[in-house]
Amino acid sequence: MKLHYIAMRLVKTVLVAIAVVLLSFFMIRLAPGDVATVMAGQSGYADEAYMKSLRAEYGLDQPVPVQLWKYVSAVAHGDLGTSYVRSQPVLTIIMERLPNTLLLDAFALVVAAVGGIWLGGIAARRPGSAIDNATTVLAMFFYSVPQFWLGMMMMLVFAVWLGWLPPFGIETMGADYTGLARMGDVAVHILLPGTTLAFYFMASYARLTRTAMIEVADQDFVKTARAKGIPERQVARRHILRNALIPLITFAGLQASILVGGNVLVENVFSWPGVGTLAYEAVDSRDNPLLLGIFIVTAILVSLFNLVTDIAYSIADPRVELGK
Amino acid sequence: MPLVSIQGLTVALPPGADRDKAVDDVSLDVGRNEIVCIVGESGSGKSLTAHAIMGLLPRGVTAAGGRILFDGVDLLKETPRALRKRRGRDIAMIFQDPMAALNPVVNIGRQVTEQIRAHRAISEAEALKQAGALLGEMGLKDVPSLLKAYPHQLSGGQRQRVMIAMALSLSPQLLIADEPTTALDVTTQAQILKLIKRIQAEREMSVLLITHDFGVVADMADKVAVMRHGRVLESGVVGEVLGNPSHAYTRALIAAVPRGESQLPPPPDVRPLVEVSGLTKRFRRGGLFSRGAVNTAVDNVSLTLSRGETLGIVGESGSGKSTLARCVIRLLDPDAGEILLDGADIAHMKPGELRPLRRRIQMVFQDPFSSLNPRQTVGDIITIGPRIYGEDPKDARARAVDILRLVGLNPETMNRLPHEFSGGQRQRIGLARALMLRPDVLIADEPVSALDVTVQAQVLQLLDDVRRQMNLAMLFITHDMRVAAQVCHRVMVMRHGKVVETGVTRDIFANPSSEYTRALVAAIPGRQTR
Repeated sequence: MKLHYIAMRLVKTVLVAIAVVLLSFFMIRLAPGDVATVMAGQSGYADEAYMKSLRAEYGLDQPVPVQLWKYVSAVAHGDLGTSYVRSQPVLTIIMERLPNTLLLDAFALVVAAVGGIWLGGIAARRPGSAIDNATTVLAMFFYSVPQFWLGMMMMLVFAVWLGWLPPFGIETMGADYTGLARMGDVAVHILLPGTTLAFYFMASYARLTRTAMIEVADQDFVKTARAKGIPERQVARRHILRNALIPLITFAGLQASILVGGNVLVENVFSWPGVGTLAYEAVDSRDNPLLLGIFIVTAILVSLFNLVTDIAYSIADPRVELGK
Repeated sequence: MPLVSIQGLTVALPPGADRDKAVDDVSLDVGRNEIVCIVGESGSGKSLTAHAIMGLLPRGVTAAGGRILFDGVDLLKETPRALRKRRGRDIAMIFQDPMAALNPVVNIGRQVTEQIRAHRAISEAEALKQAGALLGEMGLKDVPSLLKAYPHQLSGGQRQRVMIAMALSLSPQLLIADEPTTALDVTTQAQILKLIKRIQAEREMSVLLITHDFGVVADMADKVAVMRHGRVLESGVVGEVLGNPSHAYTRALIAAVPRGESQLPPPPDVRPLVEVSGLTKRFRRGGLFSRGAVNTAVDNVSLTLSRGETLGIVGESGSGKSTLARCVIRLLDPDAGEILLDGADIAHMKPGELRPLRRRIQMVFQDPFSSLNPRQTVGDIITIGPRIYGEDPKDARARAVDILRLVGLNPETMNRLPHEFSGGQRQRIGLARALMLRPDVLIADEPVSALDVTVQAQVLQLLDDVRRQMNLAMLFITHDMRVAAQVCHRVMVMRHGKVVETGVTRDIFANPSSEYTRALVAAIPGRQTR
């Protein structure tokens, strides 16, 4: 039953990927300009013959259905095409950047979840207290400030004024660290972009945890737990928090899906070499094969994360059966 | 010295509540090795009195005065830590709805061992062994797999047995049971009450049983205290209070309990208005790709119903009685069979054909709190039906005045919202809504099971009066045999989707022909004592 369900979901993932290919193929063409106009602009002159030769080189002179057919059959064979600008296979470029994005995401997700659940738990213990109000205000603040602004302020304070942390990049240029030293270097670099991303989600985790815990604390089984004479800490952890965490799984899955496409703003502010900056560059240079490739890879990852979320949910809550 | 002596207990409600005190100067003793019942309707303070003993009053609610002596120690003066250690060990408690009272994501074994290990330094394996033995003692079968199961995989009766096993795990001196059978089926209720009585005798414990049902009191109690509006009206040995109640309210409560004996004459013998034959409804589970399991909720059911007649459909949860009702009113589409209304088969009519006929069959629902739209005024709720059928809004409102009077409500209530009314009043609004459409058939789906006994009696009387005045054919769905006996001409007993037997109410009660009906009749609380 379970394997059957998972297999079905994987089939659906392929269908989603096909839909994404078709949709984005046409949507990208809705934007004015193409790679020829960009390249001609960069080279300084633009005569018709040069533009024409550029378009012929990239196959843009052929009818759209032919372009689509060529692209789709290549994708079906695992070939996402070649980047116009970088002249490298799209898949190679994305795979180079993807681990950086996943690393940043994982860091942000863990910090956000741990911090948010902790704050939400404190707030839920005494609704209406000073601590509760303070976490609410803080949560609203981080939820509402623009991420790029928060990123720039963090950079200003911790990198420029205090000089504690490197302002951008994933590692120190030219240092060529290896092994542990390199890991340490990356860890220092991830702090600013990672916490900037995390703060936004941490606020949501705190709010959700608080609401869920207050709701669960009112349930009969919590009263039962107290009637059993169980110490209050154990009541809070095993009975209240354990049940309150279930809705958070859905949220974490959503968050992972949002992040996996790369956070364009935060990655750009901190020049983090991830998929987000890559997507920005691809749009800027009308590098359609690269952009399409990013869409496809992202769509597949989002589908997989959703599947993982559903499986995690069915493990956390015995009442939920996969596929029901 | 009694085990528990409550002296002048007062429980204060937070500012802004509808009254200052939920419990007002209550004194009550629970002796060793006896069962004491507190009886009362909702808002009587019976539950808060019990919670005060446990030291588990809700947030904002405080014990403002008096003493609760347990074995001579005042529980209200104990430190939270000492009180915590007492809970589960000296005093244990079980609750009304065992599904809600068990943690849905922790398995049964763990929930029982958790309590044992909170008070005793033993290993999980040892605690699990004790838990298994206890579950066996509660009459539960297949204990090893039960220990690994989760609450939703158990039946209601099994869950309450687990709760009782948990409560007894440390051999407490006092067991507090707060409406322990209200959420259960009748036959299960009888078993659970028997179980509580058995273990009380075996272990020589004291039991404080909270209930709204005098039938339960008659079966269970050694002593009884009647509470109303936070005060104890009268208390004493159960025989005296039941046999010779001194307070008018106690008399009213006892009188309000349906007798379980039919007073209605057999139904008029006329051509039926509704004829259902071979009705079958199946539910399929599963999705696009899987075939899924099929559950036959209603299995080849036939019935007839005449004008002026009330047919009771009696059964426990899962018997298919509500699904049957929903098919007859075509809220669900039946898979097979026919439903003749005045000779026309409505079972397979298309929505367009059915619409003009829908008016003729109306329904009153179980839960008066969720069956009325909270954002519509009473006037809108009861006139929207006729307006949809093209009645002039002014005429409809004029008629609404009469109908509201008929159901015993002041017509001025029309501009108010449902939340301003009590449960009984809301059920009257629900009935008014149905009657506004001038139905021929009224389906009442557990219309009184969410109401207090005295209110229940009033609403049952009202339903019967309305049936008589409007010559309605009524399909009355209930799990409560006593209620069925009071208002039904004939009764149809259902189990697992099938009809067990049908007959005139008197005959069914006096000479049930099936084993199952006999069990249902025997399970009626208070029957042996009367």
